[in-house]
Amino acid sequence: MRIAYYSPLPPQRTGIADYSADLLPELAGVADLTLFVDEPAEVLPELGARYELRPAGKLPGLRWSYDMVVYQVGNSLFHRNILRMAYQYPGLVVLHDETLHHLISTITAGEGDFPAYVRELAYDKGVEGAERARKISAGAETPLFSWTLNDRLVDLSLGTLVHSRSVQRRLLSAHPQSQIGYVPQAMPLPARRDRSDVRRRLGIPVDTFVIVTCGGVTPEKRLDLVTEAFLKLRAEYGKVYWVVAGASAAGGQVWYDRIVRAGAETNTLVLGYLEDMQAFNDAIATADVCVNLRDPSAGETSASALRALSLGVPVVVSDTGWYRELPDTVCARIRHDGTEVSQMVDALASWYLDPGSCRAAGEAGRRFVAEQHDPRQSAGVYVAFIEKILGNVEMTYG
Amino acid sequence: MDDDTISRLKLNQQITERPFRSDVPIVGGLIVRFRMLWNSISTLWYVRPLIQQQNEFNAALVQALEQHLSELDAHLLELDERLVDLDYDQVALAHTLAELQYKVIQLSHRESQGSGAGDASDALLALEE
Repeated sequence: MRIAYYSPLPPQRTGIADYSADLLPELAGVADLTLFVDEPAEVLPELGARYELRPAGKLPGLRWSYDMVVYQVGNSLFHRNILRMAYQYPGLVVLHDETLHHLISTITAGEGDFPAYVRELAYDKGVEGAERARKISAGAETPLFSWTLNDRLVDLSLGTLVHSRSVQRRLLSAHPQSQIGYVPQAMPLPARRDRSDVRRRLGIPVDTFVIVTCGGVTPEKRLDLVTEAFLKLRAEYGKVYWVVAGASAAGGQVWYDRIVRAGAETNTLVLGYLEDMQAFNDAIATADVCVNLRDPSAGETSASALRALSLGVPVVVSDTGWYRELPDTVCARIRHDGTEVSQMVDALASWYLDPGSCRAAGEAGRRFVAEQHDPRQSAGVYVAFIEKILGNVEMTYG
Repeated sequence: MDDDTISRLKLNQQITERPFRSDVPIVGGLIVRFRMLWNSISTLWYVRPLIQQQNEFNAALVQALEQHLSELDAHLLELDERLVDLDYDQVALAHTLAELQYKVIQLSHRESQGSGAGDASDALLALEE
């Protein structure tokens, strides 16, 4: 099977670039791949050496050389050209975020083309959508998370793969005629780390309870709440440390000012964006627990939560979306009802006071990732789904 | 033109006579009364029908504008509905076309494997051009 694969790739700072890097070795084992990217010269040299790499501009002319074009689509500007190409030349879409509203509003209304934004809203909700667009324009509504704007993409595509069962159910309900499949998020199992060793290397006291928050530091990660929980836990138990590893969004340092005001900066390590995946894994492996909230959720699957589990670190997550699909044995869930801080303190304290159950939850998490998120398994689902789509095409028109 | 503009027009459609005023101390009242008397002799019989005519014209104009706006809204709504339907149709057609193109390429790959003939990529590209 010949696949044209259009995705962001490392070193682009998006989780979907890392996702592709994790999946491609296995996908290349079951299909002939050509990678299409916006700027081939900027791709990590080892990827360029390993795979056939072409500029995305060549895809329209070459696409009939492939059995299927696969588009990796997420809700960020890294996917601006991918989305446009998927609209123009439909193929298989892997939808990483259920909502595409931020991306679509940015590349339409955000760039001065309000009628194009109205058209997208009208596609999703009919004339009511156009009416609501005017209210949004007037600032009366901000439905970026509640209104997904994925209908056009799903309707156009020959098939859509998602990483969440709940998203799959919703899409199937809205598009009963479409091919909507589930593929587990690919997460290779990293080598085990010696926790004490990685703590020493990063200058973290070995005998503390370490919390990590990893991945892009966006407002939805609610570091404001995590900060309060961390400070309370620290006030109660003392030996608590917080590691934050991930690029910070603009204006995202308010939580750190609170840390400084509370005099807790000596118990906090802010690592920023770590380009080297080994260093990123090391940072996560320092932790007893990973706190990875998402409120509001864009219907995404959290690669950083899965990465923590793959490293044997249990997670504290939001009680929403894909997080509800995690086994109860590997996580604690936080309801976003105004009592988040006390819920987090309770969850973290129970693991602080019972290191055995914390380790057991981490081990269960690692087993879960090994069994359910093996990239080889994901690559197999890709190929089977494409065969199903092509088979369906033959059934319809054969 | 929106609803606010129509409301503003309605507020101002009725023109009325302005009462005479004078700020001159002591004799101001006399001046006002004299002006009113002179106005009633010289211009009132002439101006009042004009005001009446203008008011009728304004009212008719605002009503016509309001009706026109309402009809325009209905037309725009109908146009919106048609555009949305066209958009749905266009997406459905684009999806079907893509399915057909993938079907052709599948058949072509299969045929070229069997006969050694070239595949249909070039033909499909030529069709698009």
